[in-house]
Amino acid sequence: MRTTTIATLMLTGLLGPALAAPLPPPVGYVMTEREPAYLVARGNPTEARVGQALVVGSALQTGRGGALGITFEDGTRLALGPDSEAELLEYRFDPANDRLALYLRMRRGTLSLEPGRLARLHPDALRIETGRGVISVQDARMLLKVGP
Amino acid sequence: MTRGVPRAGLLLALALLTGCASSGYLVLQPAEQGPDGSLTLETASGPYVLQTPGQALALSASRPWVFQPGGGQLERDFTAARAALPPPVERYQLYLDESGSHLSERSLANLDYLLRRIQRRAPVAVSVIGHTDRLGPAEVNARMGLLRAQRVADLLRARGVERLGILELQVRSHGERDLLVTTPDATAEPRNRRVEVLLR
Repeated sequence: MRTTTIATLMLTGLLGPALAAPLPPPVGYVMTEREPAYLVARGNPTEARVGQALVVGSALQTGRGGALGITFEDGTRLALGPDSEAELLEYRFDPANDRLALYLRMRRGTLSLEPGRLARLHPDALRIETGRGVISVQDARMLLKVGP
Repeated sequence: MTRGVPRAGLLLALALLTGCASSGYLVLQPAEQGPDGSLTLETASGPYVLQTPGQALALSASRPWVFQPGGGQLERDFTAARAALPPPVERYQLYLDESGSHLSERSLANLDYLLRRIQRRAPVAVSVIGHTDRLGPAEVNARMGLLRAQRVADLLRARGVERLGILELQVRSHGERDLLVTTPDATAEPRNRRVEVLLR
């Protein structure tokens, strides 16, 4: 069964890029999920599961009835409701070198956000891009809906 | 379906009133403790700031507008996302003695509690972060913080933290850039010389 799955993945080209180079270090982890929920790293979608690592450049997706919750390295927490999609464009939590950034593109759906240490240390570090402007989250709790 | 009708009507009325259609909105939520913070939406027509908890800002292709969500709108839109929020992180501050190689007696006593919390919370990622006060050069403090963090990480490993189902044991230094007690530069402050353990 497992062999079949891997063979299928290789045939469909899903596994190829994943084997090419090691993934960058995790910046957060999936801590809650309700199906259907996916993490997409380098174009490869995987069903999200609790404990799964999140890397910069990944997309978060949920379908009808799905939900997905992430905790980042600095303690920032976010969750997507159903039919949502977001992409993590940048994340840096390195106060000693003054590098602090969380930049998320919210494509559609609903988001609940609870900022962590990052937003406390730098007022402009936590930003969310929408199709209608960029939100700067100054150490505030936020709800966001994007789309019709 | 029937629940959608009044909302669609409201949106239509808003669109007619303002001459444009909303493509979503953001809401500032009250803080659980401390200041509420603020949200700034930067757009082509300028920045828009939300500072009053409970207020919302409608996203729009032209000019965003402020409104007060009501009629169960937040419940309809955000119940699922709110329910999926992971639990808050836990932070523990540990202090080393004068020599810098042993935990203070009180911190040592807290270590067992910390390990129980890790076990209870697993799967959990653990960060061990060294901090200093602002006495001395920042680069030296960055290295000092790392030594402190490594010392505590070694103590946690010696007590089997890696067998408790953790996702990661991350060791970092924030040097003098993440103070517990705010001070001017070149200030000795024992409370800032600490190692923070973050369960996330």
